[in-house]
Amino acid sequence: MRILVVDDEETLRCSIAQSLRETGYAVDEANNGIDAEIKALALDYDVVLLDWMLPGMSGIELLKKLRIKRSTPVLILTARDSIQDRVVGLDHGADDYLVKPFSLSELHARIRALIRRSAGHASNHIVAGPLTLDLGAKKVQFSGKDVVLTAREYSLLELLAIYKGKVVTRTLIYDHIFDEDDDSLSNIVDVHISHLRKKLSHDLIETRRGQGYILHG
Amino acid sequence: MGSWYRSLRWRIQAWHAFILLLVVGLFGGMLQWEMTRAHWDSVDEELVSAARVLEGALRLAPISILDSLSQDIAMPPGPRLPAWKKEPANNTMRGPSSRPIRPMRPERNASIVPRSESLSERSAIDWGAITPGVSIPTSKEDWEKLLVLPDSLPQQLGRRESFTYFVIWRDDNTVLKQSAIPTMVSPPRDFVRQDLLRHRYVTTQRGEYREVFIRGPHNTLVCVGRSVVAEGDRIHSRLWGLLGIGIVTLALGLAGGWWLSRRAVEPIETMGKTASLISGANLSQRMDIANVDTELSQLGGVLNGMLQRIEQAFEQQQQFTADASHELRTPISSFLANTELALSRPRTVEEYQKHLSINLQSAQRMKRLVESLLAIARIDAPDHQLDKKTVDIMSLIQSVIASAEHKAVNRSITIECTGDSVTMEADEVSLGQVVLNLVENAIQYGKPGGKVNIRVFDEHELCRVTFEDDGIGISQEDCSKISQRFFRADPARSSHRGGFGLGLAFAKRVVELHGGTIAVCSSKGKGSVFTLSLPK
Repeated sequence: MRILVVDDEETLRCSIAQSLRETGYAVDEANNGIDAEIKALALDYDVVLLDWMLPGMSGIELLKKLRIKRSTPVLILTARDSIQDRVVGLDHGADDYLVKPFSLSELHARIRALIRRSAGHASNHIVAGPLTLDLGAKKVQFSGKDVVLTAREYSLLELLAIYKGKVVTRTLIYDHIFDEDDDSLSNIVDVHISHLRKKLSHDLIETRRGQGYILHG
Repeated sequence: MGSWYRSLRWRIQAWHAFILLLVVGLFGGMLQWEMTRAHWDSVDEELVSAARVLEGALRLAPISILDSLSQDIAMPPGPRLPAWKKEPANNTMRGPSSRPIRPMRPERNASIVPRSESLSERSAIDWGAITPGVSIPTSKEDWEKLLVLPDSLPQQLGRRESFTYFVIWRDDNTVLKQSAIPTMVSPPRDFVRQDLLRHRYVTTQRGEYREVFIRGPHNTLVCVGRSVVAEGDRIHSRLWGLLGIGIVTLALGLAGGWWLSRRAVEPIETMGKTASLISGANLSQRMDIANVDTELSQLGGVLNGMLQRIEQAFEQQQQFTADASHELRTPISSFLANTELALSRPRTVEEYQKHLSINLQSAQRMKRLVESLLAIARIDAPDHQLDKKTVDIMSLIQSVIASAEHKAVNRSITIECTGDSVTMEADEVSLGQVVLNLVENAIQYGKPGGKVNIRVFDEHELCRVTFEDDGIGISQEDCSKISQRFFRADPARSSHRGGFGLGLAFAKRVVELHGGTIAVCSSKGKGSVFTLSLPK
């Protein structure tokens, strides 16, 4: 999952980004509205974390522009706490609202909720045959047994599981598993897929030539 | 409840009751006295006119009869009745010599002698002219019949009414004639004759009997008396009646006063109730002064004005608190996030160090913010006093420049200070802070590699200092707002660097306290000039 963090305060932005990365997300950063607009419109992020007060363009402006073209889930982070601000933010297309100072664990939970919902899942548990994923705990069980995966492998599996039954293109995988600073080679995806097949089962993930991968539910 | 007697309403009531009592009592007393006096005067007049009738009859008698009467009529005193009252202390009242006798109703007393005659003017009288229809007495017996009181006066003994009696004294204080009298009469005292030399009649009060003496012919003394017990009782009962009326009047007056004082006090009580409703949560309440008398409406107006100012101050306070807490949220949130991150998994020592130093920065920022807030709060306190000492402006600026040196160096900005040397009375600490704020702003918003010019001008009564930079400048519309608290020209500007928007607000307040002004001249992209003017 790829997340865009937009906040002009460096310390906070870096802390959030690092925390997300350590969880396994691919994270891009922007410290002003203009850069954020470019990035958000260029890529289909899974979640955009947006600060209200930005140099160059206010968060609400950016949100309006984003909503014309994309339905990316947006979570607003701000120090402004009035009901008025919340209403305005949510009515302009934000999906959630967090007031600073907040706890990182809460931020993570809300991000998970947004990702879940935007993929059409109601709960943190995804079941695909013998495979069970707990999105909250980031645990994988196959036929009842716990499976240990690397962070990347888990991200990939999570992505496929969330889009289970649908074809996930390689491009999409690239866009959602790697952030802009990642310059891994393009065949890394295949490597991770084969690792997953080894750890779980060969039948679980099907390759559709010319299209992508699909995880069967 | 213990001090109810000290309440305004009760005190008004008490005073009102006292004054009313005084007034009603005075009025009633004077009324009573006047009525009593008038009553006795009329009684006296009645007696006097009866006496005059007798006197007239006496004068009709030739002296010989008079003398013979003197010898014959040593009548025993008439039937005596027990005295109702003891012998008195005589309280004598003299008829005033100048007062005319009130004319009686002309019923059957046509025999009354003309008023204006004085004793000395008495001369021989034409009998026929005076007593029409009355035959001239020729004998002693006939004449004696004349010596009676007019029929109109009650003369029956035995009833407690004001029956009238008479006694006629001769020259030598023996009795010439008397009617039925209730008590033993004693000869009139000497002072009676003496007073009769100067007054027309003399009145005495012998216990229950009121007696009037006039001079008759040949130095006789005519005394007509009357029992006034009944009248006295009536007067007494009238007095009680008056008292009763007085009490009723008093009661009515008090009731009226109570109502009045309640009306007067009511608006005050209403205001008091309104005031008690006013609390921190309800400062917009105001006194209703629409239906109230002038004086109270003035008071209400003053209170409303005061409430307005309090409400404003309260709102300012709330606004400030909201702003301050908002400003604190940003450094706190990065501190929090960073610490959570550091603790989320085991890390290397270097990583911990990195996290901790980031936290340190946040904490320092929070510290600076709190200090700025406290400085502003201190300056804002209404009783804040400046600590004025003799200050050399130039050296103050130099020392500020020295402390801001490293920031200037960081941005490769040179600071230059020129001008006159001025010494004046000022609060060194707060003024130094103001200069520091202005210098730091100039550095912060100045062009990197550029210059900051500070000039001091001595202008007789003023000391003017200008701070000029060639940086990003301030737009026209922002110029008027920059001294507002927490206002930053570019609100999204890296809030973790730079100031909080309090520096200029603080500066403005300090300069105002010194009696001076601070002004800015700037436009976007063209640098700024801040001018500080302080009276010396």
